[in-house]
Order: sequence, then C-alpha cells, then structure tokens
Amino acid sequence: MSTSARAVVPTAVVALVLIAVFLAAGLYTHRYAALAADATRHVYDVRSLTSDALKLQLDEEVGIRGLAATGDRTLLQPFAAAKAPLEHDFSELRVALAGLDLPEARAALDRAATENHTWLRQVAEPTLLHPHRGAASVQRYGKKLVDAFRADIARVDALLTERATQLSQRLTSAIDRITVLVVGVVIALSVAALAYTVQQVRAARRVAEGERLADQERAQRATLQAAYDAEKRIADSLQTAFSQRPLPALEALRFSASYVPATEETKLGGDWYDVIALPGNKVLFTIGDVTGHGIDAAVTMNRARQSFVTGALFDLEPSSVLERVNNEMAAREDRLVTAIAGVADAGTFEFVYAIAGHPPPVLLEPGRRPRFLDCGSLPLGGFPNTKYAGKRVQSVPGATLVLYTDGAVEHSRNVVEGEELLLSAVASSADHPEVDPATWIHQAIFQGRAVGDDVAILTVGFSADPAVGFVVSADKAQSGFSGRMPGGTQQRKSVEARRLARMPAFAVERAAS
Amino acid sequence: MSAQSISVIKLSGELEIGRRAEIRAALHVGGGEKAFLIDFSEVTYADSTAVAELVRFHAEAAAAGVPVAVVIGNRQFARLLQYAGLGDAFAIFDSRAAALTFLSGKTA
Repeated sequence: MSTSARAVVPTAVVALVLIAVFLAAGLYTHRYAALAADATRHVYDVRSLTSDALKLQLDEEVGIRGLAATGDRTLLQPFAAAKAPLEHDFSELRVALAGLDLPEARAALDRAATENHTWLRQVAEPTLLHPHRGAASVQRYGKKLVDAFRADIARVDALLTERATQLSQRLTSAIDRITVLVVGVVIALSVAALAYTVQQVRAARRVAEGERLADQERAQRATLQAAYDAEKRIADSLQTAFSQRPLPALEALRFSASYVPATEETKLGGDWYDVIALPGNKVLFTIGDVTGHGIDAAVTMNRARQSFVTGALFDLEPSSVLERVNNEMAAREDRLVTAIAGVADAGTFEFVYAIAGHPPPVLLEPGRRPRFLDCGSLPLGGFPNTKYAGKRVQSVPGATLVLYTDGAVEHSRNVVEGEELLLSAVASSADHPEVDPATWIHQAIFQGRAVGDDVAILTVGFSADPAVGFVVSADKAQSGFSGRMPGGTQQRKSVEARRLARMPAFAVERAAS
Repeated sequence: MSAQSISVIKLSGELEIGRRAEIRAALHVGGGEKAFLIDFSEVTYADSTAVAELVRFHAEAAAAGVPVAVVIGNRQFARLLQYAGLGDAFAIFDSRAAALTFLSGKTA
C-alpha cells in the first residue's frame, strides 16, 4: 500500500511534465510554422509581382517592336496596356522588398526600374515619334536595356527564392530543435523515472530484508531466551532438589551448612554436601564439586552424590568410597569431580577422610588456630583404579571440621588471600555461637558481595557439651538470622536474606537439646 | 640440546571443561619429540579438566621416555595441582627460562 502510494506522486509529476512539454512544443511549432507559412506566402506573392513585371515589360517591348517594324500603330496596344501597371508593380515591389529587408533585391529593382525608364525615354518615345528612323541602332540599344532589365528582375526573383528557401530551412531546423528538445526531455524523464523506480524497488527490498532479519533475530532471541529459561528452570529445580536433603539431628554431633548459588543463574554449578547418620554416634559426610556449570554439571553432581551413598553401603572406609565412585565415574567418562568423603566418630572424637583433588578441610579445635589438613590426590573420574589414602585425625570435643568448595577461596582470584580469609573467618566463628558456623563463615568471607561461583560450606563438629548446643529452626533459617554478623550492616543482612529466600533450607544447624 | 629440539605447547586463558577437546588435542605426544615444554604462563584459570589432561599427557610422555617441564604462572592453577597431589610429581617452573634449563640438563 505505502509503496504504491509513494509511486503515485512522481508518476503524476512525470505525466504532467510530459503533457506540458508536448503542449509547449506543439504550440511553438504550430505558431512558428504559421509565421513561416505567412512569410513564404508573402515571398511568393512578391515573386508573382516580379513575373508580372517581366510580362508587362515584354508587352511594352512587343508593342514598340511591332510599331518599329510595321509602322502600324494598332500594334502598340500591348505597350499602352502595360505601361501603367508596370509602374504600379514597381511601386508595389519597392514596398514589398522594403518589408522583407532585402536591400540587394531593392537595388536590383531600382536598377531595373531605371533601365525601364531609360528604355522608355531613349527607345520607346523616339520610336513612337519616328517609327522608321534609325530603327536598327535604336532597337539594338533597346535590346541591351531590356536584357539588363530582365537580368535585374531575375536577380530580384533569385533573391526572393533564396529568402523562401531560408525560411523553409529555418522552419525545418526549428522543428528539428523542438523535436530534439522533446525527445531529450522524454529520455531524461524516462531515465529519471527508471532510476527512481529502481531506487524504490531497492529501498523496498532493503526494508523487506531488514524486516526479515529483524524477525529472524527476534525468533532467535526468543528461542535462545526460551532455551535459557528452560535450562535455568531445570538447573534451579535440580539444584534446589539436590541441596534440600536435611542434615541429621544427633546428640553428640552438630552440623551446619550453607549453600549460596552463583549470582548469575547460568553459572549454577555442581556443588553438593551430604551428612548421613550411621549407627553409633557416627556420620558419613561428603562434599564435592563437579567441573563446569549448568544442567550437565547438576546431573553429574547428583549421580556422583548417589554413588557416594551406595559406595558407603559396601564399605564405610572413606578411601574405599572414593575408589568406588572414581571407578564408576571413570567408566562413564563423565565430568571430573573433586570431593571429600569422611566419617566423624563422636565416640572417639576422630575424623577419618579421603580427598580427591578437593581443597583441604579446615580443622578448628578449641583454643587453637584453625589449620588446613592434608590434601593431594587426583580428582574423581579421570583415571580408573586410582588409589586414595584415608587420613585419620584424632581430635577433641568441641572440634569442628570445615569443608567447602573452591568458590570459598577462589573468589578473589588470589587463592592465597582467599585461604587466609577463610582461616580467619573460621577462627571468628568460634566467638559467635549465636550464628551457625557455615553461615557465619560465608558472611565473613563475602560480606554480602555478589558471588561468581557456587559456594558450599559444611561444618561437622563434636559437641563440647551436649547440653550447650543451640538450635536454629528451619523456618528461621529460611527467613534470615538474628544476631550480630561480621561486618553486618542492615543492608548486607537484607542481601543475604534475599539469597536465603531463593534457596530454601539454606542453612540448618542441629544440636541436641 | 638446542632450543629447537624442544617441542613447546602453549595454552592460554581459562582452561575449563568447555575447552576439554582443545586441551586434549594440544597435549599430545606425536612421537619423535625430544622434550616437551608446556607453557601455561598465560593461563588465567584452570579447573580439574586441565589437571586431568595434564596428568594424562604426563603419563603418555613418561611412557615414551620424553621429559616434560611445565611453566605455571597462575597460583590458582598451581593450587589445583597441589590439591591433586601433583605439586611434586611434575617438573613445574614459574618461568620459561628455568624450564628450558631443566630440559637442557635432562637431555644433555
């Protein structure tokens, strides 16, 4: 619609210009041709005067010659009849030639008139008076004058013919010029119209192409957004489902956990932790981290996590658990996993753990500075039949083992600083029994800053005195926590509270009451 | 031995699972190499994938009897190797010059 509307105006303009040009050319040609025709007619009228003059002069001569030859005055009749009209013709010719602006013709006419008059005076009149005297010499002289007269009149006629030819040529060339002009205008307009049409078509094509690309881009964006939303939904669901396993409630052991997903949803990772109660005041604990992010990582994480549980059914030794999980994962050629499996025994205050490419646990014992425990063996899933060593740590009542994923130390991209910050966060957690240690440590490290990677923290502790434990209900954990936080302004608390709302069962500490 | 007879493999940027195929293709013993210098000096981040591929390559090179020196500048990557118990397993250097000196001694 718009394209045809745009085309109407220039088409109308072109049509109007063409009509105007044709009209002007036609009028001009018509007018010029009429003028030329008038002029030509006039010239031919003048020419008829010259031929009339010639005839009259011949009549005069015939009359005089007849008289001279015979002496018979009746033969003078043509002379008498011609004399007055010839004079009349001379005067008419003078007027006509003056109007035509032909001075040469005018001069020739004057000469002719003079010759005629000379002839009348010196040939005709003597003959009239004395028809037979000196006839031969007079007649010779007369013939000479008459010849001169005819030549001059012929000259006038030739000049008039030339003028007529000129007029005709002028008309022809004027018509030629107009034709060229009209044809030029038509060609120019046609070229302009063609160029305009081509430009319009191209513009229309560009617009169509632009719309097509925009549609394509919108569709692609929608597809990407849909895929992204779907992945985010699935990853969210998986992560939420996987991290909701409750921590056990035991008299002699206390646990706390914190899981804060990456701020950027697509970075949702494959971190997990688990604590499973065993008979006799013992627990099996695991923490792990799957390489990469997204659904695939979450799926691998779940598979690895289940492998730990089933592995523990066969053999509770943490090293055996790791070996079993490693072989299972290596067979699948799955993503690599770093993990710790361990057993905490509240009867002997002993931690036994095995580690696979994972950052080392931190042990916090009452009255001592926290310290990193041993680490150093290959991640899970890369090499079948890898041997993992079990490490045994004899500890004391009130001791807490802190396990974490690499996000807790790699946040600043300076691991050494990250490790120091972790140690001081663990140390300060001992002074704040009103907050569960995992939450305290996370808050002390990140101070409410956005987190680029998932961060899981799990603490497993022996009760110093079972009667002194404290309980944080699940409800309270979901809605935030009270008490003084490290560097805890109100704003930081509210940031943390928002995170808590995103991740139900975020932090739970259980202790015997 | 001259520097020309040392095969240099250089990887830069973030060595993570998304680049596993690329890392595996780069860390490859073709046969005929006299020594390998693995240049990770421009690596800004690494995950366990890079560690595993390095272990795999190291085993391959050891089987072929070819010495390997690794240059690592990034602390996070170095820590990852410690976590994997590889801090002492590989010949790891913080500069290319030190790595070349080591390889020259090995193959002299």
